[in-house]
Amino acid sequence: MDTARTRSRAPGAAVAAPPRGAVAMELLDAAKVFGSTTVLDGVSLSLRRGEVLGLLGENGAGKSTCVKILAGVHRPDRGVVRMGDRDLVLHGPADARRHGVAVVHQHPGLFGDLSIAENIHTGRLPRTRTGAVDFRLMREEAARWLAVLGLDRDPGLPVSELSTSEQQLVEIARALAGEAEVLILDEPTAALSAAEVATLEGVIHRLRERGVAMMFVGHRMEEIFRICDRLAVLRDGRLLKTVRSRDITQRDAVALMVGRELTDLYPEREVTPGDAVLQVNGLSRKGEFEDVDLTVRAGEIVGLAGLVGSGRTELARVLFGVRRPDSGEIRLNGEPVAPRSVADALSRGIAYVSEDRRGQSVIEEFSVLENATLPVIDKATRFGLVLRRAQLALVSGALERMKLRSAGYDQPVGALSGGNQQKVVLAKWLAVQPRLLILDEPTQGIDIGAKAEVHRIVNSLAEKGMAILLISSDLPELLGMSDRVLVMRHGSVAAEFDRDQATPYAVGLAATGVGEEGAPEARKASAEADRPSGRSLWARLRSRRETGLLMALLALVLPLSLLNPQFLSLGNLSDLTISAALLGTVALGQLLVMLTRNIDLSVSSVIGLTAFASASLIKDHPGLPIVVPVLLACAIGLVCGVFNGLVVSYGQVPSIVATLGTLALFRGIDAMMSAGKQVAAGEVPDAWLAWTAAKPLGVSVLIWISLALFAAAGFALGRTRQGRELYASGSNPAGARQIGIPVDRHVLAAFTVSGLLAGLVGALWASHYGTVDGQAAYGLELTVIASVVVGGVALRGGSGTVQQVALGTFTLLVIENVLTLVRVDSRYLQAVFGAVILVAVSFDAALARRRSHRRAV
Amino acid sequence: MRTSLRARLTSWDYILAALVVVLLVAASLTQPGFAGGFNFANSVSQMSDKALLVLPLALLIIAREIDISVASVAGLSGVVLGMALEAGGPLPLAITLALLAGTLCGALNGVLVTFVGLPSLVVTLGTLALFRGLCYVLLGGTPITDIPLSLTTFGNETIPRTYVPWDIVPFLVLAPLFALYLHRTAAGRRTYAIGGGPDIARYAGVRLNRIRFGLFVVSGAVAALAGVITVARTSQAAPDGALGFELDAITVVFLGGVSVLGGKGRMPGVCWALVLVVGLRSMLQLGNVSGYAQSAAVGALLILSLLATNTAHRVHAALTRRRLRALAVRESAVP
Amino acid sequence: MSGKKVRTSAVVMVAAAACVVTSAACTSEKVGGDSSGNSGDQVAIGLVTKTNTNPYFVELREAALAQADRRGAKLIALAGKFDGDNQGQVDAINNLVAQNVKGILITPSSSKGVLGAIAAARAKGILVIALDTATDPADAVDATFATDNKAAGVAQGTYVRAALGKEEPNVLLLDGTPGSTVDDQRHTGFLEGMGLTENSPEIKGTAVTNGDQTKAQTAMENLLQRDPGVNAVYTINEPAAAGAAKALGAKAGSGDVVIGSIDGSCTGVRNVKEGRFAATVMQFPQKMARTGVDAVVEYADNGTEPSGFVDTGSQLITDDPVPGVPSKDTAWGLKNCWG
Repeated sequence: MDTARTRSRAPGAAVAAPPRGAVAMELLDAAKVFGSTTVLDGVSLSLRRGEVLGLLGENGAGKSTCVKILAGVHRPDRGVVRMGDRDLVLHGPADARRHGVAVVHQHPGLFGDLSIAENIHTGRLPRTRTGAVDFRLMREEAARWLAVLGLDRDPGLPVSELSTSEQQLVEIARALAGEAEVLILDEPTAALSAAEVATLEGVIHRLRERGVAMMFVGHRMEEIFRICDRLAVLRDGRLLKTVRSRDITQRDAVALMVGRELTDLYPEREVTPGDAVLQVNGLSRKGEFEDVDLTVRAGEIVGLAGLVGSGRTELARVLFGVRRPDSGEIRLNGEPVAPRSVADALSRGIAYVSEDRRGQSVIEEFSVLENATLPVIDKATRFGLVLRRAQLALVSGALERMKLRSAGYDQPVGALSGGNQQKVVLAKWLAVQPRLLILDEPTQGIDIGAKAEVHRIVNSLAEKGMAILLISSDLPELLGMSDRVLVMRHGSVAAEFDRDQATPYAVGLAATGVGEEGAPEARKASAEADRPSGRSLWARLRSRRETGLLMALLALVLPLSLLNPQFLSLGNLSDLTISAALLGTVALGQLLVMLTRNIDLSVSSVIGLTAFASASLIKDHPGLPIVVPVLLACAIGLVCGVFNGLVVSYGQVPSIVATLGTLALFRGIDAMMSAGKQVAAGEVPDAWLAWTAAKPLGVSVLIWISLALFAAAGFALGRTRQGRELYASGSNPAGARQIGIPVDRHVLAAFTVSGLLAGLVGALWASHYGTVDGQAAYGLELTVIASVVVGGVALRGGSGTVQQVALGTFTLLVIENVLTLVRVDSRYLQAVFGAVILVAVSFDAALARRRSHRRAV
Repeated sequence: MRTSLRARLTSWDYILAALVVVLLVAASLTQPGFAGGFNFANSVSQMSDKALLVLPLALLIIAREIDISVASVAGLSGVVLGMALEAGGPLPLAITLALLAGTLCGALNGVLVTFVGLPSLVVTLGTLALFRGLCYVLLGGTPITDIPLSLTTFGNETIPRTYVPWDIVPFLVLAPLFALYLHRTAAGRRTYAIGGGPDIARYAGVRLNRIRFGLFVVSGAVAALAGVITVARTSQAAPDGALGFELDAITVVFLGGVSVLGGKGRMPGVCWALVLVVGLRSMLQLGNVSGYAQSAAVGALLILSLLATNTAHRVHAALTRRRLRALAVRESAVP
Repeated sequence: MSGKKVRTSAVVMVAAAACVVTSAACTSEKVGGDSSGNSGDQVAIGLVTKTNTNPYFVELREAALAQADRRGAKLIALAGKFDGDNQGQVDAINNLVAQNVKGILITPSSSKGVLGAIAAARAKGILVIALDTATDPADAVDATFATDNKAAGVAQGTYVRAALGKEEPNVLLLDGTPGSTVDDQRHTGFLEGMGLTENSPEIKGTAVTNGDQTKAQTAMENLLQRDPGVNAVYTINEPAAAGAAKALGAKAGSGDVVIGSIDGSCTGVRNVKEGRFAATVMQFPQKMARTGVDAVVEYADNGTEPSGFVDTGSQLITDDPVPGVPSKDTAWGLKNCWG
């Protein structure tokens, strides 16, 4: 990881510009086979400095494979990647990055819990002379990059609080900050507004000046022709032509891609609209859209235009029952309706084809048939049992009509191309036989051929009398298909056009509001920036989890110490902190594991095992120095941790299952080892018992040990590269892997440390309690996890600090102490712990919800 | 969910079935008394309450949730049963109260997961402690041992003239019903969909919260039934009744091929896994292996089985890729 | 997936398999005779103790094994997972029945919970004898060989009361496992010997320890936080007493606090000698075990069934004798102790 490029280049630094036009990176005669399909067959591309190469092609033409080969994700089966004069063998995305190749993806793979600045630098965090992470430098550089990209946000903000388009800009900043010589942009503009695209184009232009070689993959012709200098057209895995963009027309380019003349992209249609199916009056939802009036008649296609964020999808969601409106009226065929849920909307005949195919439309592991019949599965039953025949009857007609290209209806949908997947989605909704069909970006990310087929089908549906609402950011598509066009801007309907009046220019004006009083579109981003950028210190403190916990703790402790002065006695406090030291050390290990999105249930068994082992050792060999059994305990703990780590990371067994198994396994080994034996306090040398009773400077040695461990962990997690990468690994494992963070190694390390700490605690336990049998620490894992959860560490990974662990541990033990002093039976403790966990987690959920509400406004 | 997916899953079912056969044969040969009627009745009876817990747990895990509080619900229901009996109530009433208690526990889990929106692992971790703690709060430390004869007979005797213990009958009745629900009803398909893709299911009109809540309530009710059986088997209602049962239940579910990510898994596989674990425990018990060591064996079995499937899958994929690549390269070399 | 990763996981698998195989092979839980089938006419006897870790039950088991060897019988020794593990003992009894033992010796964790399994065993003609702890009702088994636990409790209580002299008692009670006759009888006996009742204000606190040392230590620490002025402690057995002593720390040996116990292990007697415990009541587990094994062998040979309650005796051990309470000193104790 620490080879050539660990320093990121500052945005303003002057760079000796290498000659424009020189070849920076090449793909020579590349071929790639997946399974039995040849995806690439002898493609040669060259990326030249100071130039943008556009890669055109239908889906399945091989574009993404080219990108992946250049990015180091795949290795070509034939042909080479060349950089400079050297043939490269790239061993993975990290390797490619090291050579100066950066990729910007459509879906930002950022780390939600980390700040903008950290995200920009993940994988190559700058270090100070002492080896700790240089946060100040990171923030400064991040601020400068954000300025270049026009993103007005505090670099310390966690990325999860940004909108999708803002996140994409951060991704671009990350790619740029990494001294990229070659920048590949893979469909980056899909989720960007026109203004953001303009900003991006500006950045690309600046990079051109700097001599960066770029490749741009996209689907929107105007964008590609505007941005790219040269175009490479792929079809069926072969390179057809490389040409300068001004030497070819868009039509010809499309013809090359598709291999045939496409005159029927937007077929003609007879329009005889019937009665109004959908009538919307004054519909509003706070923060999303306001006072929308809309009518769609039977047999009519109404287009809804607008920029990203104008409220179109939000409107569709309300119509579909996903959200509820604040005011206004919806009528279906004259009757007022108020869909309270998706099932409700469905039953009224409203269908919605979502813009998010992977996330909302198809379950990739399920078969075509199962996906297609899911909304109407009830109709395929007799006597309550689902019949395959009935399922087929419901959807085979629609699937045939779509000319679905697949190897049978039982094939998992994930194996199909994007276009075919979308056909399955359409078939699914047709089986519902809706009265109103809402299409949201129905041809996004699918190839030209499939697009034409979809348009044909939509037209025929309209001809048969269905009312269709079409939301699309593809202006030609919108204008070509719709009978009427409504334009939304900032949540209200800005204009309405008939088919003849709707020209791209007119629609574009209405959508951006250019030329009208006030509100230029570029201010869209500012709606979100209306939030106070710097909350007061007090407000920030108040919203932090730890503060709430601290206050709850004080609320418990203060009245208690008044009631029973015993509580604050030295003896009591000392006992309390000793228990906290033991529990806290184990909890520390659990923190590391949880940060990586895993859990370690086996800690109590490891403690039991190591406690018995170390006690036995010193009993049988009383002459040994005390250090030896401690080391033995740590060693055994280490081995257990490594075992867990290997099974989880390289064996790919989910941690809850793996550690449930090792919980039993280690405890069983402990039981077998200790069978019939017990190491009694009288059987071990006094020195062994005494070392945990020592009180240097009046404070128990156990407390010193745990303080040292907490400090070390706090430093490692907060200030070292490995620590920050640990957070990244849990926050977004796939993304982390992509930028070269060795996630598996970090998971292994986390489990190893957890085991090691448990082993240490085992030795401490054996010494502190004196007598050890095979049952030691049975059931402790519940308390450990409770401490961590109560402290505020997230089970989903990527978030948590040592302070939270310390607080959580303390809280739990104070509660226990309180119960004892108030004479509540210790048997009640378990019930109380359970209730405390539930309260803590509910509280966290409420906090998180409030935070996301604030963000959405 | 057929062809390629089914091919993979049924092959796991076959592997399990084969393992079961191998185990049973080996045990009968090496362990005297294993193949006897008494041992059969005894071993089956010992697992009869854990077996019940497996059924709703499988459903929940397929729906991408989990309920690790099942054993505590069983214990609490047993305590309620005991207390009702102690108060002089007739047995049918006491059992009804116990089932009601379990259902309420399940409803609490369900509300926290669906209404408050908390992750089920944490919720059921909390309720595991809460319900178990309530056992101790309600009962103190002393178990209630005055259990009517009819119940203890149910828990300890076999059906006359057979070696089938009475207490496995609830499982035998419920298992097919659960299998039917999962594999053949629309609601079952929706359950799979919730696990396969919750958002997608929602956008397809599946009432997620309703189904999830229902699953948790059923889990509570079935756990309560299991708790009643535990009381019958051990002739007492103790605060530590059914302690630790969730380990076995979860092991059986995962061993049976249910994916921890949700959306995958079938009842026949789960049933084979149950038989495998019962057989394993019985064999070890006759070998006088301690309870802890038995659990260790079950834990090891769990880990090994998952490692085996993963590795087999990856080896197969790697080999296939290599083979096809060689094929393709050869083909493209031909002009 | 790279070949490296496939190899790594294969290594992991082999390692895991090796672990399981090794652990299965080393099932050292098979204490006692070799259990690979009945060797002909050897009498098989089952022993089910409460746990495997309490030195008292270890002693019981060792003595039983030795006696079985001497009589040419085979002893299968099983136990619950912890003191109070009723389920484990029920399972153990059923297991022994399946292995066709002639007789079962059991120290029941729950005096009522095992009744069902015992009845089933007896119905098959297996002799069932309770050791150390009686069942409830006591005639659910063929015979009981045990200490008179009530008397032992009374002895402890009487001594502690007398040792306190004129002081007002501030008593803490560390009980064993609820639901066991041993627990009830010793507890009641102690209170009787102290001249107190359940509701006496002199009792400052009670805790359940399941006879476990660590639990007793934690419980004692908790109780002491509330009532630091304690001067007398009742303990169910010596592990519990050891835990209490550890929690008391320096106070244990200073004579400020009177700790009483029951068991009579050599460790316990040494604790009395060193002053950490004030007194302990010795039991004779070897006698229980020997008598039990003999009874089963007799039953197997010629069908004689033992019956009733056989008191295996108890003896108060202390170095500070108190008039009116018969006792022996620690020298005697060390000669007759077990463990």
